[in-house]
Amino acid sequence: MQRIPVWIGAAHGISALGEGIDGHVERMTSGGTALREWSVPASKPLVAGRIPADSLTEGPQRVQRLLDRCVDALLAEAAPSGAERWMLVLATTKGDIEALERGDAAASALPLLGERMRRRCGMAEPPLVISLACASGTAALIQACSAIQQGHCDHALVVGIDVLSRFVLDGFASLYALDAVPCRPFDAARAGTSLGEACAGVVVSRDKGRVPRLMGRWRGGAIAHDANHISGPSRTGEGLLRAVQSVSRQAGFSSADIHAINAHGTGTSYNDAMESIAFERAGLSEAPLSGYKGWFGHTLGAAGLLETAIALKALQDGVVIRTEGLHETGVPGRVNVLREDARARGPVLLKTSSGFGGSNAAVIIEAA
Amino acid sequence: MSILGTTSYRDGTFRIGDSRFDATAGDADARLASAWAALAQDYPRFHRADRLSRLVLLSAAPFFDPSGGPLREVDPEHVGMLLLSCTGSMESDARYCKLLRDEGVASPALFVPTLPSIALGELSIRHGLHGSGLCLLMPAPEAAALLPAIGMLRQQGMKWIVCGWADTFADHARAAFVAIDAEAWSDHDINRIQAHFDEQ
Amino acid sequence: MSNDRMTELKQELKARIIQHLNLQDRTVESIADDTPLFGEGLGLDSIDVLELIVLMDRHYGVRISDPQQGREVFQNVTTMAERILAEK
Repeated sequence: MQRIPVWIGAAHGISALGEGIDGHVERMTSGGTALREWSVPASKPLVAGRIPADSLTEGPQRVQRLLDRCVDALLAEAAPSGAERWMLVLATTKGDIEALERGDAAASALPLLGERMRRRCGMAEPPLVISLACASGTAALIQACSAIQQGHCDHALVVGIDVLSRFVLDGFASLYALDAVPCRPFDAARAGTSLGEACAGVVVSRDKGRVPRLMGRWRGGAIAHDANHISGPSRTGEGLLRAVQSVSRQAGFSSADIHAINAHGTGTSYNDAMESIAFERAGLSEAPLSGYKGWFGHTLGAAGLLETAIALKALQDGVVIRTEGLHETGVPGRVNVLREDARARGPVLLKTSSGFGGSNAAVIIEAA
Repeated sequence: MSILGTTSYRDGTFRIGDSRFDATAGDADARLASAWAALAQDYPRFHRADRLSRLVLLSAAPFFDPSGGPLREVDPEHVGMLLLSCTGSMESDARYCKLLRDEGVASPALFVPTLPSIALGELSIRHGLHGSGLCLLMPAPEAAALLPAIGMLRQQGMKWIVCGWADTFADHARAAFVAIDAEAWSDHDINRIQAHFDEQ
Repeated sequence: MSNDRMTELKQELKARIIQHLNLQDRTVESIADDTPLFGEGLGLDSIDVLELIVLMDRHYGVRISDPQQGREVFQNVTTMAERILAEK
């Protein structure tokens, strides 16, 4: 099947590491983790990746204002016109979680955050609001690129957002899924993830010339389910393996064509073990692999978009960034996890995300 | 015609195609339980799932019924899932939040289903579905919004799709589901899905 | 500790497990003192262990900080009751 080319660029992201994708790459190749001890009201102190406080990110409606800020940055560069066919896509797991914590469940409805984005963008149609647990951001990117290839639109603005909250911190703590120190993806001593918060987005388009700061060309995306357990990943990596195999088929690439893997890498014992097994089964043991959550934490619905953008930008610069927090790899599957930054072998990135519910998403993008 | 079957649920009234079951006694959970009991499924896990998941499990079960369900013999590798909702996991969110606020207890079993896509996980576990899937949040059931998602699932090789609206909070529980033959799909069929949503 | 207290505690635990874990297909009578909670038996899973840890803390003030240790405590209702009484 002849596929319409889809191009990705104009990425923006705000996390504990700061603002801007270029800035993220710079800080990750020159400094260390942004994870810090953070005392949440009425909860014990723990390690988390909190966006540095400033006038725009503190106070009420924090989620909405963070979304506005990221959307504004994307709009300023992409400057969509009413004459074009744009689609908006928003990925989130908890949306306005502060409303929930206030006891106002109705105000936390995820479509409301979508409406906020629609108005901010001045578009007639609300975004597709996508929720697929921790695979939400990657799934949103897949949906947007697929919609362009099918002719549903010509351009899309894809944004992912989730913020830190007592709700989610205590929930992960109740699952014994938080490390006491900044998380250490794929490390033998890993003892859980660290949570973070972020808003990140990209512009995708069928028109190469329409994408500012071009980053890459879409090669395919796939989603698959473990059908195994609600909170624990498949021990054999069933869903992730299927997603990786499906996206490789779409792209027409073999495992030797993958130059870098940006894994989900949460730092929990089961997730990282599952990923290593799936990648080995997919024949990807040699591909340089890293996970970024040791830098800014697990940013949930934003993670797939933020991490994809950073990994692509780094590949453009010829680098595969290391796994912060890793001292000694300790996972059951044979994988090539990077402890130090490495020179990129080529432009092809495989990005994967996995979440509760056994949802897995994988994309292949060729850095431009 | 790509629509292989339909089900709907509205506060106790469960319809499978043209047949109908009414559970009028009790609260939202009790009514869901009686509708499930009418299906005579041997699956105790149903009762342990969150409300949104139970609504989805109930709605999809007739499609996989070994005696006559349209998806009873399909290859589970190629079944995709699409869930539309406005409330999403709000019922679970509120339950988890209340316990956290009132007693300072974070319950792991209540926390996990505070994600709407957990319902897809429950559905995939129940029927062994390894396919693609998405959860889309929107104010009201708008079938047109499904078009890009159905296209995406077809692009990923899905041959059948379990697709529907499920919405629940407090006393309210509604769902409208369809089973789709993705290989026979035509975008005009979206009108049939919208008509099924509108009947509710 | 009298046998009566032990028996009473076990019955109470069975009811709490059914209620807390939402085991609607179970009754107190259908759970024996030595019915394994995991595997064949009640068929509980890893997330249920965490839920039982919450139950022990909330109702009996018994803190179990390591889920792995939980596996020993949560073999059956008798081992749970013994752990509670050991803390008193």
